[in-house]
Amino acid sequence: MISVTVHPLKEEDLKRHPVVEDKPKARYSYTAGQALSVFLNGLKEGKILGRKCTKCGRIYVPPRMYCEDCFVPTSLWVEVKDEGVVMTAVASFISWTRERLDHPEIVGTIRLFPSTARDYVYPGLFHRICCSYEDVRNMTIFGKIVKARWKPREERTGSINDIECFEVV
Amino acid sequence: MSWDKISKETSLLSWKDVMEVESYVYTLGVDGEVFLNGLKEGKILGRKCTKCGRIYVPPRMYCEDCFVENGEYVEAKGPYLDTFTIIYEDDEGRRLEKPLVIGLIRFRGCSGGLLGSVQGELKAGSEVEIMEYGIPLRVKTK
Amino acid sequence: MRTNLRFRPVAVIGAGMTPFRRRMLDTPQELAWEASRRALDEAGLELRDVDCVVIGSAPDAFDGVHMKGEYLAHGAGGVRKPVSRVYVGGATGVMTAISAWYHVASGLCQKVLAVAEEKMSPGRPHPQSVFRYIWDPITEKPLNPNLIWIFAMEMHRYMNVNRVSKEDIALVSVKNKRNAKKNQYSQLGGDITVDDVLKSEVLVWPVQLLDVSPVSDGAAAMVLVSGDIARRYTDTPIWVEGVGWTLDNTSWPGRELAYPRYLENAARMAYKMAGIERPQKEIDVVEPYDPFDYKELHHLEGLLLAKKGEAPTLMREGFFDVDGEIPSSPSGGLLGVGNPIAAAGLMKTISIYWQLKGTAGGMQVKKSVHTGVAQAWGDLMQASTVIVMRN
Repeated sequence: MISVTVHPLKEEDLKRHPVVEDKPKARYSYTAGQALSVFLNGLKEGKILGRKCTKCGRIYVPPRMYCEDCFVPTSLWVEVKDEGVVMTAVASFISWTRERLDHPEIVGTIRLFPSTARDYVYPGLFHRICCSYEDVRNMTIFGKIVKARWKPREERTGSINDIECFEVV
Repeated sequence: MSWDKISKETSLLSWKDVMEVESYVYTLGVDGEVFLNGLKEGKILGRKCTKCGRIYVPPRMYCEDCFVENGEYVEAKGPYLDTFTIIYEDDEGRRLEKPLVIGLIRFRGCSGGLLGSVQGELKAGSEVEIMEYGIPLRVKTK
Repeated sequence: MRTNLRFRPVAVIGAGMTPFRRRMLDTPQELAWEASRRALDEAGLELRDVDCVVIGSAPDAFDGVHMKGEYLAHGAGGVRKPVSRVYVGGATGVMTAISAWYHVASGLCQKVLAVAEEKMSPGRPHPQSVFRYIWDPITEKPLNPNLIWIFAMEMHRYMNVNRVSKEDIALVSVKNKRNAKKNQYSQLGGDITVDDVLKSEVLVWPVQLLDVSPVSDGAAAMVLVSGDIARRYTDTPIWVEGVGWTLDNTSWPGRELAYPRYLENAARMAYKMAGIERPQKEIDVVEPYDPFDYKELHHLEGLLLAKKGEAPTLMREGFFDVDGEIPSSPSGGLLGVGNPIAAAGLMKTISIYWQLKGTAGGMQVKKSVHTGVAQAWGDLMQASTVIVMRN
């Protein structure tokens, strides 16, 4: 029968034990690929581009060169409206390094038009939402129609951050 | 359905980013700490399996074949140079000022081994003397 | 109505785990060894009796070691044996058991050791920062998201669509931490109230500190053998009767988050194999994956144990309490025991195994149990694995 046990440590205990520390030095250059390159360039122009599968009619935003259900190439570039419905919204008080923020950062997902409330899948984006913390807490922001607030043309670089946030029209 | 693809490489974009973890702090485990303390006292420690008698260097908590907890700590003796290699470039491809010799040091009657930087005449199998008890070791062939 | 006539019967005859704690001195291999040794001891086997090994371990980036599953080899008995590593995010724990199942069910192996281990403590500044590369690098990462955001978004959507209040959801956290008090391996067992949950630190509204399971180190292991030799080792082999697993895409911004369709798919696959036609009537005890309290409700609906939107009502009525109709997370779940990503799912499977065997000690539910289900979920709202066992 086993007799050893594990040894849980508290954070302060860690200082009293020898450890090895190492920092990885990896840097990555992710290719945007066919679909996202056009998408990012579209953002620079102030447009949200999607890709349509003519077999099933589904519009992909962010765009994809193939339809995941029909498993054939998608055929058309379409411009979807930069307007849509708020599906969900949250207010974050922590940064990605788990530090505390003074002002909440509000993000959510937006179902872009054209789409309907009965769709299980739809062209959608994850982005910041410019509204108050109260709107999030009492859920009044849910279901509201919002529109993208674009950065001025000179400041756009071809990135998802070319949109500042989505705000209620 | 169409296969419209952009073939001009310069029209395709790429996104740069870094590995987000700042660092890793690895704990050594109980046997790892025993090994480190042994090095401070100028000893290479190993640990013996009570069932098959195999001696693990560096020491390990359990025997990988018998799968029971290992027993006493023993001092590994009789170091020899099992194999070695000569390194001319660093890990970013730059030429080193002086080539570095790294060898695998094994111990008589023990399983496993340790890496060390080697000085002296390079011959696989020759006995070595440990000059510095660190990670890696620093040894000199006899 | 059984449909598993083509597979060999597979039984679980032993299991073991380490306590789950925030940080451990021990190395990953030592944690794996301790869990494996306990599992072999309960099964009454030695390592030389085991012919195949399955290792489940989540992202290499947590431990900071490449090929983290294979790294555990000498601690998981995987030396000079056929070894498979599985990884599907949080769903890994149950996937480890499923993979071990098909090694035996196919006839390839007679006795398999399945090990799942996780050591989340080495990453700095915080293990949550390791999760940053789970996001799409081009369309999501530039917004600097924290992993908790996606859970908060799913939770808020679930609350909105089904009109559920935070109080109802907090009941899960209260129940699980209370159940965990009886679990000797748990990290956070204790008595809290709904009020404590609602007063805890707001991380990402609506997620608060006591809604979340902790970061942990730990390991768990199980021994599965072919049905025809199981009774040589034990009078109470626990039979794996159904397995299911499904993957969805990572396009979660373009999907309805209030209902996990991929889980329903995996559950139906497992139930069909096990011959379960009315889950709510035929399942006696369940361990749904609960990294967050709302997730347990979300998954109970996906497992077809409650109608859509009905889980919070049943929870409030005590339907899922330890002395209720279908006890849920009697071990204390991830909220109570801890969440070392891969080991957690296997811990849930082990909990059902012990319930069915009658050896769950203080955690044993009062009603007699015959059919149990364990479920795990992983990644960006993508993967789900389900396992059905009977005694």
